[in-house]
Amino acid sequence: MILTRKNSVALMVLLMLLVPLPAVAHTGHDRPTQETEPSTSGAPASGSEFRLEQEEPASEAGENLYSVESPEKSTLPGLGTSPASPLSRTDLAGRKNEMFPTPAPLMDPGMNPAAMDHGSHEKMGGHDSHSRTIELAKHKPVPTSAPGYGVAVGITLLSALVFGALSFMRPGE
Amino acid sequence: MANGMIETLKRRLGLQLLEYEIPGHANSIKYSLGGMTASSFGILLLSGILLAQFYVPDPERANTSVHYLMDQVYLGWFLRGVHFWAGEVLTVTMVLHLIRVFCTASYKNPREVNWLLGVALLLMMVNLLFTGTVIKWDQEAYEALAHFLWVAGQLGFVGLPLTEKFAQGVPLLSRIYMAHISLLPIVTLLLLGLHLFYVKYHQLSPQPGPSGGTGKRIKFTQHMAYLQRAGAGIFFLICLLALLISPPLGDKPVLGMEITKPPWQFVWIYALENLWVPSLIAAPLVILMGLVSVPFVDRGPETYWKRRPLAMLVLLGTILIFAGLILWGEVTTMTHSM
Repeated sequence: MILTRKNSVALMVLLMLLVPLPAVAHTGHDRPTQETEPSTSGAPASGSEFRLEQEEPASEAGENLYSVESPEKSTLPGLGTSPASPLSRTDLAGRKNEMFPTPAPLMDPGMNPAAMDHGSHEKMGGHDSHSRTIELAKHKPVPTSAPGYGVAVGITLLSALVFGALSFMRPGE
Repeated sequence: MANGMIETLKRRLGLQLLEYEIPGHANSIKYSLGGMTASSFGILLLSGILLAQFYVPDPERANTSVHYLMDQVYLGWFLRGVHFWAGEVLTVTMVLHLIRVFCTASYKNPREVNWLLGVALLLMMVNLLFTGTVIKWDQEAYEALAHFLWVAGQLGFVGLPLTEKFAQGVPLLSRIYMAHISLLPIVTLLLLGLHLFYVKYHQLSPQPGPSGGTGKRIKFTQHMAYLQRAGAGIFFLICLLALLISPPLGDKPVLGMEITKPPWQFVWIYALENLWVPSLIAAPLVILMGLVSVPFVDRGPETYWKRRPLAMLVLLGTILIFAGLILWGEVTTMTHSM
């Protein structure tokens, strides 16, 4: 069947409408709030640091994918406790994981920068020694002290030279 | 004597077979965007092989190994910069190539299959970009993976191979790394080979409109020389960017936090997720189905863009929506959490 333009538009609209339906039917991302929530110092501004205040001294639990620390020691919801498990609680929708029967959300609503309780942060203002800092990764200018910077400049200049020569001489074109 | 040697070498290697004729407009920027994308992919492959020598695909040490590469290894920062910026340049040239093909209606009969191969290549590049983001294993990587796993979880049985449950005991990061350095590049190379084969088989699409069909023909080797120059330009640009701007790299992730935004290539879906969480599943499907349906929906013989107002309207609308979502995603803050 050859589609006319009118039919084509109708078909595209139909496809657009039909595709999201299964997704809507499976909306199940709501998660219970965790009991122990670390408080934060507020939403990060662009390029700022995001500070996470903890009741307990900063542990490696949050940094270590192979965390074997006991849950009561860590205020951060670790993803797994198995040495071979970087992301043990794979079900973000909150369904129970057979390997780890006490599911903890990866993304707890209370940890959302936009939904932070700034008041609680002020209450915990004296815990500087127990705080961890997450620096948001950004593009940075390369320092000239970087190892091999001069050689990198040389490689770049050489590539410019090759491009310039090819553009000037146009061999084979 | 030199000419004689070159001719002998050509005959021995069969290079004279490359001297077939192609349309003259092949040697223009807009018809060389695919070649530029392939150049970036080649740079990605080579720099990726070198990077792999320093990367430890172990969740415990992955991030540290990247930091070590950046801070301690001689020219390591430059190598990673080249890899990163090659991916960025590839994204731009690939999207421009897609837009050019759409504008010139090069997906129409008999090139529908090649359009589909191009869509598959786009999918592979998105996957490579995503897995590349994850394996540096910083906060951004962790959050990207968490979102991906949520989607995989929603897909049920279909998504199972993409989760840790599929191979329990094997770090998911290691599997993602394997996909990034072997599975995805191999599939991409096969698809790229087929894509090029069909370009050759159906010949380069004619230039539509009044300026098209001038009849000028050039040898394919002339086009190769043009692409070589374009590739050199791409490499220079990538080196310059790597020399000036260091790609982002955070520390090991703090699990359970959601504070970062995805790279700009994915930030539009971040904006959509902010509106409606199932967009994470629905939006890629809609886009994929839309792209796949293009050659089957638009089957008219017309290829000149000025005489295809509806198609141009769809293209312009899509570009504006994506640009708007990217801008919005960059400035907005997530108002909910998964």
